[in-house]
Amino acid sequence: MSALRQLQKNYEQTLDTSFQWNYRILVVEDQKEVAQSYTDILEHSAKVIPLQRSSRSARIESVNQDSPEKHFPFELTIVHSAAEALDAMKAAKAKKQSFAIGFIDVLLGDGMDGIELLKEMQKMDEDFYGVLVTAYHDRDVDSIHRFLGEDKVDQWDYLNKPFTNGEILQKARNYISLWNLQKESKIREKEMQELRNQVFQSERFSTVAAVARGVSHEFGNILLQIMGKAELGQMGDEAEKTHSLEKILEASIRANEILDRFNHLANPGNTEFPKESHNIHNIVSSALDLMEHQLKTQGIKICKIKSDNGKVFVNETSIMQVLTNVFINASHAMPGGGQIDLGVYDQGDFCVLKVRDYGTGIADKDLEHVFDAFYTTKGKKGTGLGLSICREIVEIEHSGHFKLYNHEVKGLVIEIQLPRKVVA
Amino acid sequence: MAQTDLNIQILVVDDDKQVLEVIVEYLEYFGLCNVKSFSSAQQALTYIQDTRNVIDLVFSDWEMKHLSGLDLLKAVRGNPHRKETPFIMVTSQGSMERIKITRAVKSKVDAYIIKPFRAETLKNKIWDVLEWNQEDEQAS
Repeated sequence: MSALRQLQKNYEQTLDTSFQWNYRILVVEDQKEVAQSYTDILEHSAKVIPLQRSSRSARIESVNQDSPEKHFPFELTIVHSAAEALDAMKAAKAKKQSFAIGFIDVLLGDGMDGIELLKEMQKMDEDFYGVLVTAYHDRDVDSIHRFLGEDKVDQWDYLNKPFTNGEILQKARNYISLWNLQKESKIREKEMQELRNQVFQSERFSTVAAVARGVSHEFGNILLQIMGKAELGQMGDEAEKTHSLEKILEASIRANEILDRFNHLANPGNTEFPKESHNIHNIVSSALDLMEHQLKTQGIKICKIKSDNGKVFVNETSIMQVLTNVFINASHAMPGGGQIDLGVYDQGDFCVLKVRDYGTGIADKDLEHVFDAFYTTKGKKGTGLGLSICREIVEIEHSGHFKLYNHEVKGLVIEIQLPRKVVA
Repeated sequence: MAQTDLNIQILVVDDDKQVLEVIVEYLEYFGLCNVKSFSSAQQALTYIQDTRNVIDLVFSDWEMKHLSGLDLLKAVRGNPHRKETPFIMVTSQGSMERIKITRAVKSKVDAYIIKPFRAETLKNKIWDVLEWNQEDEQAS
């Protein structure tokens, strides 16, 4: 649970980085008087009602209440040629103070025109948003669209001269807002992805921790056997000593086997999870061995009901993790003991493992949510991550299928379909 | 201090047969030969509930299938004939000992011992719980 608390803390810290809005506008206009009018409109008369950035309720509030008018604090840079424009872009980028948007005159005298310039500018800064301003109708929007490219379709606009103050002002507000909102959502999305990865790692770790508790009990028993036999052997006769040494060796081998399997689960070695040909029956046995103590303590019997060809092409550690999770789930479903049925079925290119418990199953209303991260029906006992991680490992890492449904009579069935060979 | 009496009846319960064997051998080595052992907590419970059986000390593992050591402890304490019977609980490292110990203390456990343990530790626990004097015994 402390791992989850740490994650929550990370999450708060990550989102704490407040996003600073970028109000920088680059104006490319070769006529000085027109350039001056941008300054007049955007720097001096930019009184607006603030655009709400977050929730719907905030927006309603701004309509209902008399919010004070606020400036969009535009920061204007005015240049008079394409060359100057590209220099300004370069300098801004170097200072890490890129422009959000630009108003670009299409006819710029000699050299490239505004449309070509915008294309160059967007090569330098893929987020840059351009408003093309022209007095002539020589290029229609479709030809500009073809020139700038499909992927830039939502990153430019078009405005005719002579423009009105309102047109310039409103376009500046709109596109500054749009640029910043898109930027912020990209940053947040990246943060969310980062957090999802952390959650994934942490869940892997908590499976390891659950298994570790069982392993620790096993080790206590094994060590007691080793220490006890050694101590008693010391005090006994030759025959007693020989018998003790045999028992010690036996216990050591058992400890080594458990350790091997546990290490395999806890330290997969690399994060690539390479796949190889394996037999699902062996992976099931290893997972059951690790779970042996927990299942035994809870009085859960394993019943193998079908054993078809078990050849699969998988990452052994990942699948063991899935199975461990599935068995932990099944054991939680039967706190008073019970039975788990295991079946391996041949389905051509796929091998299907069915795991059925004899618990209460999952209520219909919960079934559709079981794969949602953080959804749990176990109260404080579950993290709500087990099944979503299982599905991710089976479906995304292995191109298989992970299904679950209530058994028609009793309990829950989990069906894991795994490929037998490399899936392209 | 109580008089050392190696003829007391001891009940040992652990569902790991290897562990059970080691504990019984330890007890025999201490000279405690009247040992009744069970690898099934359920059978141990039946034995405890039958008041004809004499039990002077219970030695039980905590984590067992179906019934836990705590269930046995409660059964012992809940039985008017056995309210005062000394009870030693065995647990393993790292399996939430603190919570378990608190719960066991509430149900009046006399001592607990963490696996693995050595002969001396086991002997000390038993002698402490039964209030026997180890020096007396060594002298005799």
